[in-house]
Order: sequence, then C-alpha cells, then structure tokens
Amino acid sequence: MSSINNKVIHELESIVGKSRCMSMREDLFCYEYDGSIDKSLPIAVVLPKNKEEVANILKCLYKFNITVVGRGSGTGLSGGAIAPENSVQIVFSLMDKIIDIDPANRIAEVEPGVINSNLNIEAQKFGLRYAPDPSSQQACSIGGNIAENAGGPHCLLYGVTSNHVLGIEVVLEQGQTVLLGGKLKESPGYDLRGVFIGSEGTFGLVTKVFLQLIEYPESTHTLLGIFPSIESAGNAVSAIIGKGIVPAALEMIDSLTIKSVEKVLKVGLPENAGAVLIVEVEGLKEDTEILRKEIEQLLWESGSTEVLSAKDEKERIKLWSGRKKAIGSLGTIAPNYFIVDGVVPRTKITFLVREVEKISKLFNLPIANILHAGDGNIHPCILFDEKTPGILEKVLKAGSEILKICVNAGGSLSGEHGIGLEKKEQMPLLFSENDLNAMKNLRDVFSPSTLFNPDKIFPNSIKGTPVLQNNPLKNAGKDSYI
Amino acid sequence: MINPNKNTTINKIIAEFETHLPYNQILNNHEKEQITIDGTMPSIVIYPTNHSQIQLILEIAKKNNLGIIPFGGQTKINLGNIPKKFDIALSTKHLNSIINHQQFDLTTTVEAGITLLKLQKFLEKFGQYLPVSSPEPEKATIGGILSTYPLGLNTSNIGLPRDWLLGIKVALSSGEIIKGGGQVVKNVTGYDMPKLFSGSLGTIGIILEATFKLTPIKINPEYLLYSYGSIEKTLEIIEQFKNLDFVPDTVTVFDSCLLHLPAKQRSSTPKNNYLIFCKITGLKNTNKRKIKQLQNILNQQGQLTNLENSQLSFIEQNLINYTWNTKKELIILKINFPITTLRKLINYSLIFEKNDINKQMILDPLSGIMYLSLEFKQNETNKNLLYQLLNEFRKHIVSIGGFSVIQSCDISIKRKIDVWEKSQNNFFLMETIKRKFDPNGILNKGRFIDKL
Repeated sequence: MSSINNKVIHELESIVGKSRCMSMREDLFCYEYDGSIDKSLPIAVVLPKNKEEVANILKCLYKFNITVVGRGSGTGLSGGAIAPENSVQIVFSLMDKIIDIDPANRIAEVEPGVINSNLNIEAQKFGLRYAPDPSSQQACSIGGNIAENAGGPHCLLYGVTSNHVLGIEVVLEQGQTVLLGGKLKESPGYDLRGVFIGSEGTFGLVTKVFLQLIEYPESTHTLLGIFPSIESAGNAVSAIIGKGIVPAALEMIDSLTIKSVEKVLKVGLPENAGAVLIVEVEGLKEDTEILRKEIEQLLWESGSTEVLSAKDEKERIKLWSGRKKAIGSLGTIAPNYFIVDGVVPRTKITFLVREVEKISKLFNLPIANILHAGDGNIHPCILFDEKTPGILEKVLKAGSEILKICVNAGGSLSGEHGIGLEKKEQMPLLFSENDLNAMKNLRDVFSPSTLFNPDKIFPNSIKGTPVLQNNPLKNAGKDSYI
Repeated sequence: MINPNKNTTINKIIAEFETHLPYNQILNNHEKEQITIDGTMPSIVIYPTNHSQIQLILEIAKKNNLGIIPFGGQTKINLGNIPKKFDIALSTKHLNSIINHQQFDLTTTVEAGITLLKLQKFLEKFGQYLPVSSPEPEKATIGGILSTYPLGLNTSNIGLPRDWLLGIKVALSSGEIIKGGGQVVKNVTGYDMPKLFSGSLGTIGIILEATFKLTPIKINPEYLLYSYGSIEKTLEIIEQFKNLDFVPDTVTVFDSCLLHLPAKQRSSTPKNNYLIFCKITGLKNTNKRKIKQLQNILNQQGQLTNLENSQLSFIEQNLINYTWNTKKELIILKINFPITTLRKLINYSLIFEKNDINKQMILDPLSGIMYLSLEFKQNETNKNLLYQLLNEFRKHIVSIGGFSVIQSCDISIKRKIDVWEKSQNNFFLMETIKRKFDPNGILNKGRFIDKL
C-alpha cells in the first residue's frame, strides 16, 4: 500500500475510529463484489454512523483525490457498488434508523441503510406501506434503491422509486450537505431530487430520505395462469393491457425457469408448461372481484390450460413463491448466472423471448427468462459454470447481443438494475455523444471532480471517462453469483 | 412583430433570419398576435416548423447574444419574474404532430407544440388519456405544460406531469439536440434527463418532443357539489375524508363566487359561501359505495346543490382555468403545504380579509395545494399594503413546511417581489445547472427561481 493510502487510512480512522475503518485484505473481501459478476477490492471500507462523519470522510478523500463508492447492502446487479482500484468504499449499513413515520402526512423519514422490507414492517403498524418492492427487498437498502431507481413487480401500478421519494439529504464531494426536494411532492426550481435518483452513486451520497407511503388496498386478487407457450402468455399480457386493465403486477416465467422452480420448490407447476403468468389486482373489493373475473376470462381466451386463483393470503404467497424464488432456484441448472435487464415495448416480449432462445442456441448457453411482463422488463438469466475456461467472455457477449435486440426493438438497456459497469459500453447503442455529454454536464454540476463512482455509466470511448487500469469485469471470480 | 424602436443591429439580425426562414414563419406585423411579457415586446416572433430551424435560431441568438423566450399556447406565458433579455419569442406551435402511439403499450410520443386537447381527443378514440391538466387545454401545448408545470386539482391521485414523462428531446442553447429517457414504460438507462427539463421554464433547453405513458380513461364519472356556511364547517368535513375506504378522484374546496353557471342555471347557485366538489370514477357497483360514503360525510352540515352531472362536469376545468387568471388586478398564488397544516394555513390567510383585501380560494386538501387569488386596487397605498401582507403570508407558509409561487400578477408587483420561493441550500446547484446548460444566458433569462 502506498504511503499516501496509509495517510488516508490513518485520517479515516481518526474520523470513525479503527473499528469502523477496514483496510486489511481479509476484511475487504466481503466488499469486493455486489450482486453482479464484477469484482474489485477497495483500499479501505468505512462505515459512518451519521452525516457529519460522511461529510468528514468526503472532505478527507477529496483532499487526497481518492475516489469514493457508496454501498448499501451490495445487492445491486450492475456492478454499481464495485470499487474501482484505489477507491474507498463508504458502507451505509450502520446508518439504518427509521427516524420517523408520520402517518397523517404518510411520510417516512429514514437513513439510507434501512432495509426496504424493514421499512414496510414498521409502516405496516400504521396501515401503510412503501410501494417499490425490488425482488431483493429483504436485503436491499433504501439508499441503494435511490441510487438505482429500483423497481419491482408492483411498480407496474405504483411506479418506481422516483415516484415515491419526496426528498433526499445528500453530501457532495467537498462535504457540503444539501437537501434535494423535501417533504412535499413539488419543490421550487429544477427537480434536483428527480435527477439524483437513479444517478447510480455518481452525484453524491445519501444521508437521509423522505419517502411517501401509501395505504394498503382493501382487497387483492392474485391469479396464476399456466400456458403452453410464451406466445400464448404474451397474448394474455396484451389482452389484459389492451382491455384497459392495469394490474398491480403482471409477471411471467418461462419453461426453463418453471422446471428449476419445480425441482426446488415443488409448488405444483406442470414441468411441461411453456410459461406461467401471475396477475395481481388491488383496490376496492367490488372492483377487484370484477377485474378478477375479467382477467380469468382473458387468460382462458389467450390459451391458458389452467388458471389458479388465490383464496387467501396463504394461497397468494404460494402462487407468488415460484416467481419470487425463481432466481434462487436456477442454481439447480448451473452454479452461476448473469442476469440481463433489458426492456422492450410490452407488446414485444414474446418476440424478445424467441430472440433470446436463438442467442441461447448460438452461444450454447442455457438462458432462463423471468419477466416483469406488464412493463416489458425482461430478465434473461444466462446460466454457466465459471470453471469453464473462457466462459465469462461468452456470457458477456451473449448478454450484450440480447441488449442490442432490446434497443433495436424500441426498448432500452436497463429497466431497474442500472448501467453500472456492466452495460456502460452499450450506452452508445441508445445515446449519441451529445446525449452522453449532456449527462456528463449534469454529473459535473454535482461532482465536478468526478469523485463518486467514476467509472460507471459512461463508456470509456466518451471523453472524460476515467479508464480503469484494472477492469473489475476481468476479475469476476468464484463469487460471481448472488 | 418588429419593434420600430430597436436599433439597426436587430434589423440586421431579422434580415439574417429572413434569409433562412420562410417569410410566414417570422411574425413581423402588428396584425398578428402580440407576444408581450411583463410589458416587454420581443423584436421578433418566430414560428419554426422543424428542428433545424430551431437550431439555426439558437445559433444566431447565441452569436448575437439575443434572449429567447420559448412559448406554446401562451396560456401560462406570464409565469416567472420579469425577463432580463427578450429579443426573440420562439413558438413551438407548428411542431404539433403525434409522432407515435403504441396503443397496447399505452405510450405516445408527440411534438411539443401539440395542444393538450388535440392529444386527448386523439387518445380518446383508443380509450386512453394523459393524466395532466392545464388551463385552456385547447390552447395549452405539451411543451408549455412540461415547462411550467400547471397542476390540476387531483395530484394526490394522478401525480405530477413528470410522473408520466418517459422520454424527451430537447434543443440546448448551443443548438445541439439531445434526448433523454426512452419510449418504454420502465427505464433506468442513464441519468433521468426528462426530470431535469420538466418544470424548468424553458431556461435550459427548448423541449421538442416528449414521450409519455398513458392510462385508460376513467369510467363512469360522477360528481357531488355541497355548500357550507363557514370555512370551519368545511374543514370539519374535509377532516373526515381520511375515514373513507378510497381516495376520490378529485376533492376541491372553493369559494362559491367562483362557481360560474350559465344564465339558465343561475337559480341553482348555492347560497352558502364554501363549496366542496367531489369527483369519483370507477365501476358502477363501486361508485354506489363511494357515493354513499361521501354523502354520509358531506350531508352532515352541508347542502347538496341540485345541479346535474353534465353541469358539474365543467367545474374542474373552470377552476383550473381560474388558477391562471391573468387579470391585472389579481394575484394568483399557488401554495404547496403539508396536508396536516391546512388549518394553520387557512388561519394565516385571514390576514388578507382583516385588511379588506378580497381573496378567493381553490383548495385541493388531499394533495396539499391551495390557489389563492388576491384582488387589489391599482393605487400605491393598496399595493404597498398587499406587498407587505404577501411577504408576511409567504413567511408563514414556509414556517409550516410549505412554499408558494405567484402564478400570475401585475408587473408592478413583480418589480417588488420574487414570484418563486427563495430556494433552499441547494441554489448553487441550480445556478450551476443554468450555467452549464445555458452558458450565454440566452434562454428565458431572469425569469426562474432567484431570477436565474
């Protein structure tokens, strides 16, 4: 370790104490990866307990020109929390207080390290909930959700993180604390809150958040349709949306995923099914009952061979279990997976799944598809064994080909996981140099020294993007799975 | 329109425009509509028909340090502080096509100059609509709506315009055209540039195109209008709305003098001072329960007006129109406040009545938005008093965690007051945004927050 790094670590220790500043290699290994396949060791990991410590840490790092990566729970799927070489990671797991829940105004005031589902447990005591529900909600943090503008199955009806964040207290690179937005939906001037959300940790670090809570619905109906093919399930999606019904969730899994789910969970799905569609509606009981009947009819008309309807919460949880545990079950097929996060217009999901099949054959890699079908967000999971020589390059190439198809179909590179390290080189597929330079201009407003997460989002070909000497993607190793 | 008092430099520039643009796109005579903002006329009004022309205008403006104010239907053109530089009025109204509509994806991409009404009429054929509101939807353009952020009377239910915006195409002050976001309903690719330009009053770019997600048209609208004798009674009723099983589509409280009925129906005008207007939509069975629950609350101390659904359906738009009233003797203040501070806000607003200043209120209690119109006499004593009271009232609003924007007022008031709320500790970021995206200060200069 260089003498300058020793100085930095010494100073960081003086801010947070030795117990909350780690720099021994064996201590850092836990922080070298996130939920993606990327991997890289920071020079130190610091765990602040309050905004003053965050500000002092940043002042120190700014002085030494050491880049910073914020980290919540490390569940991100695009490499957003991977520290480039010679960076310090600031981990927010000790800033995990739910400061206040104001039921009358339906606002929660929380620290960034609060786990998404923990907030819901507290809010539930007041008959309220926080709507964004990423699949990792039992582990992921609110700060991470803000960085990635996280979604989840129910964002079809309720919107993504950005729709539910009222205000954010952030610390900028020289330690200045600013409030973006506040406790109201609107705030005067440019929407700084709006542009900060989804900036993938490149603008600053979040130290406090004001979130909008919503009430629980009076009634929920969950249906599960089993289909002989992706086409028939896709038709059902179009039929439901085309009928003017916007369900709370509309999720799909394909045949390979069904097989792996059945192998592990034995939830009773037929292993020869082509696709399974889960539809959930929420609202007043008269509405949901009518919608349930209409949707059931549409599922049958679209070719469903079996339609199950949850009669109570226990059955609802059972119907959801196959979808919610789908990713975990893929371990029965291969030890590693690479999850793609493309988006297409929802009418093109069938087309995309068929294209993914072609890529699977072309690259000789099994790919299981999990889809937020209602909003066209598809997660092809490319399955592989990292012990196979040269496999990672092949996997990345297959992922890249899928994203090209998404973009060509009028879609986008990422629906909810972010660009991070993984997809940054594909950004020119969607954006011109002018578009990217405008984004860089915006980043420079918040972080003129590019102190935060410097190697994320922008392709190396764009002027001003720091090029890592040691590309974390090349370091993907034995922990390249969740 | 040519301002004859401008110097020859301007005339040379106009000549430069005329060599590049067809004659009928440059407004240069008094017979055509006049674009005057806070008493200032531009030297030239241009109606470009394509993106290249807009780029050209921006390049010429940059070269000659001319101030541009973009506009659409002029329904909200007076929002903002007094312009510091106003040479060119640039209209987007000829960029008015629907570029794309994906019926089964519930998305549409439109040019910025399309009017809200034209878009809604088109979408209606497919049973869809864009849930944003504006005064005079037959004139208001999508670009203008996105830039100025007019709010309807139901934002707690439908959200803000930015919540429906998926993608955007913008001409920067440099003349470069950039895009952000995309055309799909879920997208986190790159920074959320659409949010940057929404509500930015055309100060950092000219919106050319916008992509929105849409929603199915709400079915079976039903309306209720009740009157109450005092604001106290009205507030007691509103407080009970938290016990409803549902959130009504619209709940609006307003002064009865704002209910403008056609002559034939004047006899139906309520005698009481305050009105609560509710709108619900949904399946018929559900509506029955909603109406019953609402009536249980509203009936307690109120009087149902005997107006038909068809007559009540116009109330919402009429009230929205009023929130942008540009009468010279009126100040329209938009107030955002935490919903639990409503009583305090109402009490603070009494300072106007106590000082004999007429005020009318339109209140969206579930969203925490109030529009207050203040009527004043055109004499200095009255104006000075109003100015003092307004400052005092705005301080009270801040003290309860709210903020206010003066949506409409006379130039004499604007000379004394910033129409936007003083910004928080983040103003340096806003200044930097303006500097980065409009380094020469040619776009709507001086009109935005803290006179950016």
